[in-house]
Amino acid sequence: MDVLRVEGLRKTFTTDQGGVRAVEDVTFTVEEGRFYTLLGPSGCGKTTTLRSIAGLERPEGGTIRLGETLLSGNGHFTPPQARDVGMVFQSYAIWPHMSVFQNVAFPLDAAKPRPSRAETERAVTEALALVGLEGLEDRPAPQLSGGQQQRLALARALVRKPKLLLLDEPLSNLDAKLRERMRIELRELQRRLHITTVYVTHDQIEALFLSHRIAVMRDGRIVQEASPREIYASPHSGFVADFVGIGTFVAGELQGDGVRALGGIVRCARVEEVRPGEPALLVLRPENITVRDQRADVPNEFPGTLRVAAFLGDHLDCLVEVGDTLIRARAHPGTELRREQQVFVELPLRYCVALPDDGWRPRALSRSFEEDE
Amino acid sequence: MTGSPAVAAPRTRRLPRLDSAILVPLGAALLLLYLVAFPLAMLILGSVSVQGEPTKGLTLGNYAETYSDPTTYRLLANSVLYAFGSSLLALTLGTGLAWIVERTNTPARRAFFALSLVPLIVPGVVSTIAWIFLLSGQIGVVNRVLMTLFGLDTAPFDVFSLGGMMWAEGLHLSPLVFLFMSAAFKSMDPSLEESALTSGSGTWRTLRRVTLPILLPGFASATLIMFVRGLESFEVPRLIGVPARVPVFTSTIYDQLHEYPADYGGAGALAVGLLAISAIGVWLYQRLTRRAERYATVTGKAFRPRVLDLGRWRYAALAILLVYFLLIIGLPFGILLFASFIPFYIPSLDMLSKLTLDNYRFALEHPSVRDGVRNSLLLGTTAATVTMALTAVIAWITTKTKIRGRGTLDFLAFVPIAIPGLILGVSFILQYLSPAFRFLPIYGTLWILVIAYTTKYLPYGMRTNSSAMLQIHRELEEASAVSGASWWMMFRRITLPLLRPALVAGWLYIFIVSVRELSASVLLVTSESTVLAIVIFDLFESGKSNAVAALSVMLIITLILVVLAVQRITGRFGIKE
Amino acid sequence: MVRTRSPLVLLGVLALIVLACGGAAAPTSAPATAPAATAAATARATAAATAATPAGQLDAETIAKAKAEGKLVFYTSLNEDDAKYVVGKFEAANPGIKVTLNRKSSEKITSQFITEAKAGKIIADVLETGGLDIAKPIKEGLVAEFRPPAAAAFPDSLKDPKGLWTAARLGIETIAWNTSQVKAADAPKSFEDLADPKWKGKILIESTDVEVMLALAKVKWKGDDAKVRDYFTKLAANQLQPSAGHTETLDLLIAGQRAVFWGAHGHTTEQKAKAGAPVDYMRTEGVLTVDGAVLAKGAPNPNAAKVFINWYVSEGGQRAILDRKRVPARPGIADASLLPKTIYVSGPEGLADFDKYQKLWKEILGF
Repeated sequence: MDVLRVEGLRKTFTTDQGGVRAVEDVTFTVEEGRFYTLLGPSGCGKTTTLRSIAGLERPEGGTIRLGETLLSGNGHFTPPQARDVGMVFQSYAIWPHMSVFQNVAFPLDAAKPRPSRAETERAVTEALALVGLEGLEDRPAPQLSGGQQQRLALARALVRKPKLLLLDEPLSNLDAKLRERMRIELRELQRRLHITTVYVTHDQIEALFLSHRIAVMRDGRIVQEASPREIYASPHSGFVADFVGIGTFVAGELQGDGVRALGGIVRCARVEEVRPGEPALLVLRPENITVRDQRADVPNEFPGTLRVAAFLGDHLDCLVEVGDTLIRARAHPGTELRREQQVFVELPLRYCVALPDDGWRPRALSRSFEEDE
Repeated sequence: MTGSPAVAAPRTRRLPRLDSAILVPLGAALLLLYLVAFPLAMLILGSVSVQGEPTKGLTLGNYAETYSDPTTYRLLANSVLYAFGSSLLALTLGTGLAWIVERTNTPARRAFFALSLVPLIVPGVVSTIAWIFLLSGQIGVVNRVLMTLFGLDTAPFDVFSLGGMMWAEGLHLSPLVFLFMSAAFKSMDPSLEESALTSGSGTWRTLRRVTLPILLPGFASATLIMFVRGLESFEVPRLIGVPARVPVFTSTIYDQLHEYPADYGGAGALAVGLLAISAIGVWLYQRLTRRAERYATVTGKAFRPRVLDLGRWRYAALAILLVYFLLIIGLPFGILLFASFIPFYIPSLDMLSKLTLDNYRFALEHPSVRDGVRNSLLLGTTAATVTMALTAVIAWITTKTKIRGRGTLDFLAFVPIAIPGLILGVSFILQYLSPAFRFLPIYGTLWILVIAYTTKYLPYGMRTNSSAMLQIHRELEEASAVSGASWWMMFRRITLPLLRPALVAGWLYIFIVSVRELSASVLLVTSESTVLAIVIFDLFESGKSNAVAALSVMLIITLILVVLAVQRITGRFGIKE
Repeated sequence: MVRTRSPLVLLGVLALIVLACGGAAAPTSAPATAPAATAAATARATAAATAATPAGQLDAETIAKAKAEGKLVFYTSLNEDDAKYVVGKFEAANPGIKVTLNRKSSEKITSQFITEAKAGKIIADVLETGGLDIAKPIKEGLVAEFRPPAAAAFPDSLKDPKGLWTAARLGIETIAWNTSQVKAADAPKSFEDLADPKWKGKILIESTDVEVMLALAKVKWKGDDAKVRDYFTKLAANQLQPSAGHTETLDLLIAGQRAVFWGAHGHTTEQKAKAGAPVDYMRTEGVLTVDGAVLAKGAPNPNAAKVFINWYVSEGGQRAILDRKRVPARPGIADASLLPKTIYVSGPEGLADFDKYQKLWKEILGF
């Protein structure tokens, strides 16, 4: 059953330079109990979409439905107070002048009819227990640690048992270790509660880890929407491929069932909407590329020079120069490889996909090994 | 349907539902309009009406008469000279002091910072009276002392002159400049000077070429504000200027309203003239400070300004501080103390044989005194509360919404800064005496004073609340909306509590400053509704100057105690004008 | 018109002059100049009437209503101490009626009274101040008619034919000096003395004391404006120091700011002298102002106000005035020793010429 249905959402912001289209024709649905992520770089419109669902932005066009209720569209607009939605903000928005209890109880105080004192206490205790903050009711909110505040925000969002939970990059303010832990807890909580969730992030690992479905956004539109596995394995464009996962991108002309590149032909298992002779883009995932010090006589094998081999604990991060292309690859941590060594890379057939080249190029690889913001 | 005011919808066509999100801000905006726009409109209307009453017909005669009269230009010259002279004095004193306290290693300079705040809370009428006792021609104490010391025949100083007026007002304004400039000195990035010094520039040269130019905007804006204050000043022109026969705008307007028959039209024409000059001054000030913000080196980091080692000169600087302290507090308080214990004033030590407590008895038993104190406290409390509450809502509108016209609201809330107190009084008289307002007979009650004070102090409340409101993160309010709370619940439970430090600071400030208020009140009080500063003023003009001295002594001591208490409560008492 | 030494005839003369000029203040009374014969007759009548002045009670209904009101607001230009004394005496004689006192200089108290009334805010029940100023609210129509029974025997000169005001006291305006600076032998003996250049830089003057000029011009110099001009020009050449308010200026005199005060009030000078201040005033000649009381139109406590005014002009009230070394208006009570030998009388009728002399004052003296 569809809990959230967004159709043709459109929102423009006017700045001093004139209108800036933040969201342009966004359509998606989220089924009951599913975790849906809007993934994209900053400025892609994901936050605006989320805020429109919450009612904090007023879209110019399109409709938003929650269950049977029309939240916005067709000249109608339900204010955020009247929507059955819980939201966790990027800054957590914990009210510093209140205690933990008061923060969580606030949505209940605002409810009509207002529940009794006993009911409120019960609901608050329950919500706090859910997020692991039981016993901290009377503590002043600013005295909580970052992670605890985030949980508090979550408890507050859930206390009224809303139909829909919205989260706006809630983990971005946490340090790496905490972020990982919270990620796990969040996933577990959502799965347990079976609450319909929409999540916004620019972090692809979060997206992959948490979501049932991911929608990659760019310039106000959804460019691809699929399950994590699908998006990762079958990106429709270089942009998506780059945003979800690391990769090497090689451009070339489609020839037969392969792409002319790397000084030869890279045979592809799949060709997505490219016709022979047209420019194509190859996406090469590093974990799929094998680096060897000797020829193995397999298809799609190319000679090259090892430029960089960095030990990253669980794997060797390698940069191999093949022709004039730097290919990113991974090797087993125990492999003995030296710089400037002659190596051979294998691009296994089944992982080679040729995508239409729309002119998009990733940022220079030498900048960092982390994915872009 | 209802849009949450946090979001503007340029194209909605539905009528908004009447809930708190609309009612409260709308009500506040309307109240603001009423408080500020109405009196100004009535002032202008009165100035173009026959005898100031629009029902008698409209005319430009008031303007024609006033501005074709050569004495008006003498008034203008006097007013401008007076304002200019006093602000120059205030600036020199205040800046010099600020420099000594903030940028040198003069001993005991911290103590002087606290002491310098005292004159800010003492009503202007009190300090003016003190200087009359100190510097009147033959009978001023200072004069007598100097004459005896140096064997002079005639008094070296006479406060009853334009120079004397500038002296009294300049001294009175100097603590303000001091605060202004010490804030400017404090926020100056020392590395700017340090880089000059390390490139070989000497101390004086650095001061001239680096320090002063950077301070110039702050300096210029302080000049402007002091100039406007000088223009609107009333106590000195009335108590010193009238006997000195140096009429200025404010004293003349006051006289015109007290003549028989009262010339409302003429007073209105003069008032609008003064208002225009004052408005230009404030406009220039706003422009300067906006430009100055570009030079601002304030980044939110606390700077430790460079402190200049004066060497042996620091004792000279300490002496300067002591002299200033003497001038601003010591001498005035001393003379008031002396006058309070003698039956009539003769500047001679012989009077010490006639010491009496009669003046204190009189002051304490006089019913007007009790009324004045009670009313001042009541007014201060009410005005502070209403102002802070109203400006909290207005500040919310101007900082948190995108409603069209919020710029106008912001402007209206700050306009009273440009309105001299006396002019505000004139506007209110014209408004509430006009037949249109007969349904609101508040003239002669405390209510008209509440309205006048609230209007006057709007800018202070607005400034405090706006800057605090900006610091409240948008998401804190959005979280409230998503949690289901109405606008009023959000304002009450989220916004106001977060605003509390600003609300308290602003409230205290307005409360304390309102005790000083005289120029707006002087036209609006009656015997049933008088305030302390006016009681002092009236008693002095009735010739009970010794009783006034006693009252002033008690008032000063009380105010000092109050300031100390407040300082303890708030930890830090920074008055920023 | 007449210079006399007898206080009784003096009062008769008062009657004459006030009657003659009283018409100007109240528009409907006949503007006439009584012939000298009537003057003498009135004087004799007044002299005979001193012995048994009728008690003059108000009717029981008014008194009862006054008690019910229980309070009244009294605006006066009497100085602080005198006003308090008088009010104290009233409250003692009329327990149950509480008086709220508002005291300001004549000009200010009148101005306040008028402004409030015009704003629709009638706070004062009774206004009592100098003759010229009393005429102003009357002219504005802010005064109600009331003829206190206690003043029934007052000569027509001491009350308004239309019943709008009743004289309560007479003020002495003359020249005072600081006895530390001026020896008795050198003290001025007449107004003209101060035109002498020897007083240059030594004279204090109250900046709005036009009434004295008016009285001198009309009574002493019988309207000879050339003489007025001449005198005041010479006076101005002596570099007068103006100051606001009689009490204030007197304080300046006491403090030693200057040596003499032109236009000082005799009674306050007397009071200060009694309190030990080094001042004295001229007894040879002076201006006598007729100061009176009016009942405010629409007064909040009209009956209590009537009781007050009636008491004020009765023996009880007038004796209180006498106690304060002032000159009560009520015939037969005044202490003649306080009066200057030669007097020039000024009353509410002077308002008609006020503007003219105001202009002259401003023109010659410059303030």
